[in-house]
Amino acid sequence: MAEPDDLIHQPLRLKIMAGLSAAAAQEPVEFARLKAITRATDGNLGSHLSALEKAGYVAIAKDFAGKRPRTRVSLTHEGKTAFRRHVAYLRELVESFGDDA
Amino acid sequence: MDISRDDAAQALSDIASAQGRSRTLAAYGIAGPILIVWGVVWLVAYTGMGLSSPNLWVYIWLPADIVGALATIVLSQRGARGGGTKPGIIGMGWRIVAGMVMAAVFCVGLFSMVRSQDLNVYMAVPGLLTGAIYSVLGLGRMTRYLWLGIAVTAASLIGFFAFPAILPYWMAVTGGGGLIVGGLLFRRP
Repeated sequence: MAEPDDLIHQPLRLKIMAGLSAAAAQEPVEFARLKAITRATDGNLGSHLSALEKAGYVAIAKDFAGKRPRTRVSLTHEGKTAFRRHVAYLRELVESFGDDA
Repeated sequence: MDISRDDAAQALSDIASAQGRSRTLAAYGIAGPILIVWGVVWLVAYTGMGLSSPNLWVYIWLPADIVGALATIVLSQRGARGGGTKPGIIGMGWRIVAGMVMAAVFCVGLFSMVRSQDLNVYMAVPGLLTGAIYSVLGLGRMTRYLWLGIAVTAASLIGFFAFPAILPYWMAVTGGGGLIVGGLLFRRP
């Protein structure tokens, strides 16, 4: 059975990872869009992104789009693998309980 | 770590919702610039209709539609490459163009069967059809299309019944302008 990931399982971090995973094959996602996806506040989102960055699950890039500062976030390879594993664990858990019933 | 079955099911549901929102917002990001292009196309072509005789209308709309269709394909491919989207969205431009061709065939077919002496019908019906298409698109997950569809439909009806003397300019400003404003709003996260 796959293993759970304590860091990812926190509800907001789970939404961050899910939102990024839907876009993971391509470019990073802007902070403002990630905020809309997760429906989190700036501060809350920022602190959870820092935790995910420290774990090596996301990469955060800051640059300028014209004169506007821009923060973009993407899943790292490690993050993708960890998220996939955690989702597999959740599915197995739901299905195994289903088998018991 | 102890996760119950309910927790796991809730987490999977949250994941699916977040992934859906992510894809929807990415699709809005691609659609925004395309709507702006079509807003400009409407603005120019409807103004051209107001300034020219009806036998020239086809020569205004044909090149305008070709420019719009080409821009749609280029913008959707560029957006899909740069907007962080899954490959499914890459073909969006071609689907939009195919939908437009179907809409054009519908209009030509309709006007061939139901001929009207009122030239304003030929201006308002494409607007009504566009509004209806956007409204139907907005009935699913992409609700911003619903508001755009309602706005375009309302603009077409109000123009046809309340401002028939200036309908082409009305359609240029409210229809074209509405698409431009809609495109700008679509681009917002």
